[in-house]
Amino acid sequence: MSGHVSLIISSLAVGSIYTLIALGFVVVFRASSALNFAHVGVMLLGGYVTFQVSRLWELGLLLGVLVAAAVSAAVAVVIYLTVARPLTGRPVMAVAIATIGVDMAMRTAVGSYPPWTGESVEVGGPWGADTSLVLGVPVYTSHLWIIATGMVVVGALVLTVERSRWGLWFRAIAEDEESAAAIGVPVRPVLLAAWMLAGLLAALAGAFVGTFPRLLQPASAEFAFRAIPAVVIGGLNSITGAVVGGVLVGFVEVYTAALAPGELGVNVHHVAPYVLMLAVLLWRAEGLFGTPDVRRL
Amino acid sequence: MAAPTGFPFPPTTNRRRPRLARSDFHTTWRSELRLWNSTTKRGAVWLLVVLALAAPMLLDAAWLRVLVVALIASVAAMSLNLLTGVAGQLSLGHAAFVGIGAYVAAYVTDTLGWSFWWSAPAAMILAGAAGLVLAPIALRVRGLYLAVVTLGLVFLASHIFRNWESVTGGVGGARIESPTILGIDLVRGGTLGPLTLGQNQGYYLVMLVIAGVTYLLLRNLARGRTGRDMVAVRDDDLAASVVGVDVFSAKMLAFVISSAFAGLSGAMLGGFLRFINYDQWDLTLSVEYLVMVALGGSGIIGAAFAGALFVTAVPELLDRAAPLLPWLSEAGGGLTPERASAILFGLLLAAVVVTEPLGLYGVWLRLKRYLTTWPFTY
Repeated sequence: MSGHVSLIISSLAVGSIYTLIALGFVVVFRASSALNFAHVGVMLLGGYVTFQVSRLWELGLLLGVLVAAAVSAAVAVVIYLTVARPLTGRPVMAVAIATIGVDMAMRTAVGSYPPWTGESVEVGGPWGADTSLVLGVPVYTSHLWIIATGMVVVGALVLTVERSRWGLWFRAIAEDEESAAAIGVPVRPVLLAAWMLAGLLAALAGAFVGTFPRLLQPASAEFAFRAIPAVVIGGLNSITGAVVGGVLVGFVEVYTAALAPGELGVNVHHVAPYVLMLAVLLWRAEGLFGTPDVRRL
Repeated sequence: MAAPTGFPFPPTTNRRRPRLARSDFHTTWRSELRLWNSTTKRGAVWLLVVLALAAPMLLDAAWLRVLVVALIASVAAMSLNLLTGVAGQLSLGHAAFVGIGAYVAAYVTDTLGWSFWWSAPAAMILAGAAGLVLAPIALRVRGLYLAVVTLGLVFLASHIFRNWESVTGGVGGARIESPTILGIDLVRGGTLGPLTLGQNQGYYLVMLVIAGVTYLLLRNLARGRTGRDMVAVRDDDLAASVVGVDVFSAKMLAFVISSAFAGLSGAMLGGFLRFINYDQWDLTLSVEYLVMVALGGSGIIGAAFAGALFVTAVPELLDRAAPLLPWLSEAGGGLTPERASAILFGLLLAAVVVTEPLGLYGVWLRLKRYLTTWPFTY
């Protein structure tokens, strides 16, 4: 039982990180109908900027995350203005191909900066290896903070999208951009805000990916790639789907790591999300909460 | 007194423009669909053939190596071009099929101990079979979902390459016997009677034939009825199904054929490198194939040659220019020539998609239009 408590807390923490990344994908997908692979690179950059400010400049995690959020949001906006906006109206595939190019460039560039990538680094969370007792079982304090932050962010995001004026505009644009523009929705500012929000979420996730017991390294980008199965399992255009998919992938990964027999190979928990995704797609081609594609000639 | 000629009077004789720059007009569909449907193209092909045959005599082993790797990559890039450029199915998993081909070559030559020449057909068959098995899963989903499924494929394949040690050698990697003809090792070179082959020369010539045949097969497929079906599926699969195109077969065929040729490319790459590792067949390689396709010209089979040559030559060029470029680091960490070129390729991929969707082929079309209509701008 005590084993399961710590596994569940780990799953929820990992799932929170996946949820944060997945939400970034979904927000951009709903705003621009584009799968933004560059999100992966933005997350990695966010993690390393956090590390730079928090550990190398010794200014603390909070300031690190704030600076990283600003940098990531700026980069996301640049990607939107240079890649996604010029491709408006072209096939959705075009944005996917272009952003995967941007992503490769960003990941490689971050990985080529020796002060960051000489070895695996920790972003400098104030919790270190501290543990807290949950139901009498010691778990990492950092995990509890990650879960709490994740819940707050998801709550704030859902409230914003469902209750605020900008959220209403955002949903209108996701529904039909031209009609939204016709009834006076400020399309461009809302799209800009959506991409900025995705950048913020990526930076936060990047900081958590580098918080003990995990370490930040160039290969941490695979964390963000594994959030793509989370998005797809939930459905590309569903915020509920991103949360459910993210948590589900967190549980699958942690439990596979703990329980999978050795014959399945080293790091089988890193591919388990993809296997789960294939299974879900065979069952429901639009994911659990996605809207089926309605197409007409 | 001779009548005045020139502007504003029409010329008295019908002066023909030189053949090279004259537009070729077609009066039948058959002539337009011909493989090389203009005088210029026929001339260019002959020139290319001559240059390609002269290359092993003009270039040293290092540049010949670049050409060989480019030819090998072009086989994979052309097959990806059929799948992504012609049939419109974005695949991020091409590296996985190339990897399968390479591991088949390793298994055939090292574990079974057969000649290398069995491994090329075996790699094509097994990679094609893998494509056949995966196609129904991949084709159940459309568009972006397919991109994501094939993304998963890369990571799954890497996992299998790493952990299925009895077949792939796992972390230790796998060895491949390089091919020989009449006792001459094609990579290292050798002498047989009056015939002497230098380093890489034999492999270059073999690759030239393989890449040429691949080009002819894929181009003929793309310009015929099957290819037109694929283009229809790419442009709008619902509309294609309405006018009677068998969408599933078209996608399936594109998927299986492209996997098979990716396998061939992998086997040839293995035979050339002689040693392969599990982490070689990653997303970066897949994206590099996409760069070759997009840069050359998406949907233009032969243009992948240009893309492959560029992607292979840039790291080598940067490596040679490293002493002149202080921001490049020599080895190990930092901005190595490989990383610098990966950054360049990524940005280039985005730039090409945004500004010139037809890549170098589109640039060539614009240049040609400019030259043939000069001095007018339309």
